[in-house]
Amino acid sequence: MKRIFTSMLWLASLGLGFAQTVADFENFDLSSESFLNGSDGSGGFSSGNVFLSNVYNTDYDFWSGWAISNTTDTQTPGFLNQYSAITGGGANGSDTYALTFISGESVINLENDAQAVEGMYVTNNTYAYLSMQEGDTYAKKFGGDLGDDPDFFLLTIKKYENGVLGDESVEFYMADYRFEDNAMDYIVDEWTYLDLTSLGSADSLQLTLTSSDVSPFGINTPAYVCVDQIETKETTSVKAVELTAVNIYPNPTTDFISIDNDTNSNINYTIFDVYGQLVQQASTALSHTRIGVNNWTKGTYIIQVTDGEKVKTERIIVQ
Amino acid sequence: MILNRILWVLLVLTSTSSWGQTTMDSTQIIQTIEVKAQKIRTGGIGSTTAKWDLPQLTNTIAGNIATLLQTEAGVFIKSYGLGSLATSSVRGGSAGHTLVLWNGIPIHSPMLGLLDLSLLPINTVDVVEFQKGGNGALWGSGAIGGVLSMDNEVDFSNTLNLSVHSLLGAFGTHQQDLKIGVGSTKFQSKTRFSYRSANNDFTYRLRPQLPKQKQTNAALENYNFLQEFYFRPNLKNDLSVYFWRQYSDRQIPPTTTQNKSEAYQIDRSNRLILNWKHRRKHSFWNSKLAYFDEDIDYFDPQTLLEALSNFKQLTAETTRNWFWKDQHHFLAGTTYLFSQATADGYRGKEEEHRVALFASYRWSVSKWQTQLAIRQGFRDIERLPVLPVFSVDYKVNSNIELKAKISRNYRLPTLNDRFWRPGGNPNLLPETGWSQEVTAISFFGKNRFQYQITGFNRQIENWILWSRKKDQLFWSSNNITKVWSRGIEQSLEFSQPITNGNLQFKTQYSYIKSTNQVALETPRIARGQQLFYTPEHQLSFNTKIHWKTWQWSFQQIYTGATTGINADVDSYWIANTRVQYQINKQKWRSTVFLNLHNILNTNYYVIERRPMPGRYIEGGIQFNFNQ
Repeated sequence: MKRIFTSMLWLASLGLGFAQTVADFENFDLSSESFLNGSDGSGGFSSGNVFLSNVYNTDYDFWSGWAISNTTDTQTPGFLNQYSAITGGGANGSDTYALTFISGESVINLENDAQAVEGMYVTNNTYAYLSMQEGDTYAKKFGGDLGDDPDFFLLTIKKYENGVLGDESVEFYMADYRFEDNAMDYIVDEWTYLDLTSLGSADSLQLTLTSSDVSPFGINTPAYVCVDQIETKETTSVKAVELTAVNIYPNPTTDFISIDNDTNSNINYTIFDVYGQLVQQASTALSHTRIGVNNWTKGTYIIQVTDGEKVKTERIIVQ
Repeated sequence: MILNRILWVLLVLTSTSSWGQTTMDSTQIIQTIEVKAQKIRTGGIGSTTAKWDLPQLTNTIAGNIATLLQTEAGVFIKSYGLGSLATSSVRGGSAGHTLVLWNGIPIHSPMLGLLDLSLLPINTVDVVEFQKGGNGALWGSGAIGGVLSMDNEVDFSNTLNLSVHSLLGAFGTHQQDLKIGVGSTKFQSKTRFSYRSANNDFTYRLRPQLPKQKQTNAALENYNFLQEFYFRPNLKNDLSVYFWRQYSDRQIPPTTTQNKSEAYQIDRSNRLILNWKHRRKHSFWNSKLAYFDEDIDYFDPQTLLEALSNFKQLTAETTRNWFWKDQHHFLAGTTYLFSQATADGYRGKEEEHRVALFASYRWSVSKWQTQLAIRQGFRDIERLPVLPVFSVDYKVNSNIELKAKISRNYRLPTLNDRFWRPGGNPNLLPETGWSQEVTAISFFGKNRFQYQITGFNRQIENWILWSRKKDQLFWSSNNITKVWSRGIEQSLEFSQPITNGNLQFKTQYSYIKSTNQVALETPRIARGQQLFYTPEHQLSFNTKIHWKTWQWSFQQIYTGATTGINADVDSYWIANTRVQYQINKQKWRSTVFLNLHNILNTNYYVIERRPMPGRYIEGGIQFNFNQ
């Protein structure tokens, strides 16, 4: 199995140079105090060389995965203020940032030539911060009723490479109340840079959250993290030749994906989900190929079609 | 002769027992008791029924149905705090497994499938009956753990009755009740008004050695207005109208791990029931039409959250009872229920229709009484499981009675379970299962002692839980598990006349295992794990002494440890006492009373992070005038 995001690794092995790109999410040009939660059916957000997937259910008005925001409310507790960062804006004085509600895991996908994440800024969102500081109906204030509970809210980052979750991890306490001296307890309220070079090359990063305030129903602490200025490292000199004689449609789709092949030759296609897991792989010389997606989990998929040196890559949303 | 007797019996059905007892012979009294017991349609066969009539309700320390069940019936009440939401767990069932009836009509919310028992003041009704065990064939959805029946009754011999009740208590508690009954032998009117307000700013300790702190944002205001009209144009017909308007404005206090709360909830309900009874030679008809319109609105100014919900419910029911030779009783009936609800989570209105046909045959002879009942219900166009119940009583001798019952019961999914977005599942199956119970009752010591022991067993399949399936991004309602409840209930009662009075003592103990039988991932619940907030052990002692016009009662209640969602909850002992003195002067009766709650000053929790009050006092006075 080979990940699309690592398809350029062999180029790096030729001794070609590297560059750095920052995903700062300012490219979304949001109006003030607004957010994108996928309700436009975009299926995710690209900035720099990362792609953050999003699933939006129009029946339920329910989003999962990632959102992009520039809301600045640092005072209002509760779910209705779920899009705000406790810093009141993006990292280093910027306006826009990304945030995720982590249900199990959230993934930062590397795309284009990116092959590693050097680092990124993280902070708490307002809902989670105030919940940990003040408590709410479902979640405890950190420290508990007497202030002495050794509570924590821990962000763990691992990498996916070739569809395999790596053992290496970077851990960061979004809140830490485990100190003997309660005066040292803290909840992160500033953008904090995480050095992720120790993770090395990756196709994507996995973010998970654990909390000391947990019940059989899961984490009580609102499981949000805000992210900004994700620095990726990528190769610089070789670009794949675009395969223009192939057309992939419809997008978004519900029943099937069609591939029109005007190359008059045998093409290979490979489909991954956003976690890098291989979904389907085949070759075809037919001028029209139809792939049924009825039984696929709703979400974003990456389809890569190759004809020799030529490559075409598309993100397809299955609804 | 038979016709006359039946007519007498049926008349007494809507009259006071004192009136009946002074005008009938002993045979008629027996039948009166039998027919009156039909409020829960079983005639007491197969299991025992606890009953509180007006004098008992007037003289209890309990102010609402939740406290009454807890202090008098040994039922576990899951209370979120003084004045806050309170639901019951009967025989290890969930809150939705106790069916609550008002004048024979279920009043639980079709959206939530339960009722806040703390919002049911006992002074709005005249009789409360409670029967544990499955009764689905006769009452339909929700009659799994037990059936609680609250009824208003009429006395056609009344010309004028006036009752004023006033109570002051700790934490700014203030209550006023007014009841006026006027009428004739053909027409009666009863008007009740009740107002209660409390700050509920009690103090509690987070740990026994720590200083006290005060509960905040816990105030409440409750209004109840109830109007009843009873019309008896002739001996064959009774028409009654009941209207009950409730308004409750309650603050929602913070948990012990929450710095503050500004949330509050407003509950409004308008309930109207029309009831017509028509008596014939060997039978009577009873038709009811009910319309309920209720709101629950939750506001949290801190989080800017407003959650508004409303439901309207129409219930129509007709039953016909036949009697033959005092031995045979046949009941047939049909019920139609239409619910329409609105909530933000529904993205609009949702509706549900339910229809049911049910029948029952009761046979009484010598030492035996048996009952067989069956129900076929439909939800929308879907046929529901058939619910049979078979119960039997056998009087071994004058000292020993045996009772047994086997029943199939279900609880239909609530509208929230079906239609909440995301996660609602319109195709959920009802929670369904069989229950069995056996009871032995022994009278001894010249009938001064009564010992009772009941063993029960119940399996519920398709138990509904909100859970998260693998690869599912949100929580959803699913028929995901199975719950096995079993246990033993024992009680010993003692009653002894004393000079100018009476001494009563009752102790109850229950051991209940109610376990989840399927290992679950999310929520993480092990196979064999006791359900949350379901104590295995409960013990209570109740002593009442009447002497001249004094009355004293004392309760001590032990609740075993439970598993909470966030932390285990320790066991606790609670004790309450009440003393009252009554002055009777011609048509006036005046009562002064004092209630002392939690006299051991126990620091306890029913739900973790939700503190309960320590010792507190209430006192008041009541005037009754009877023309």
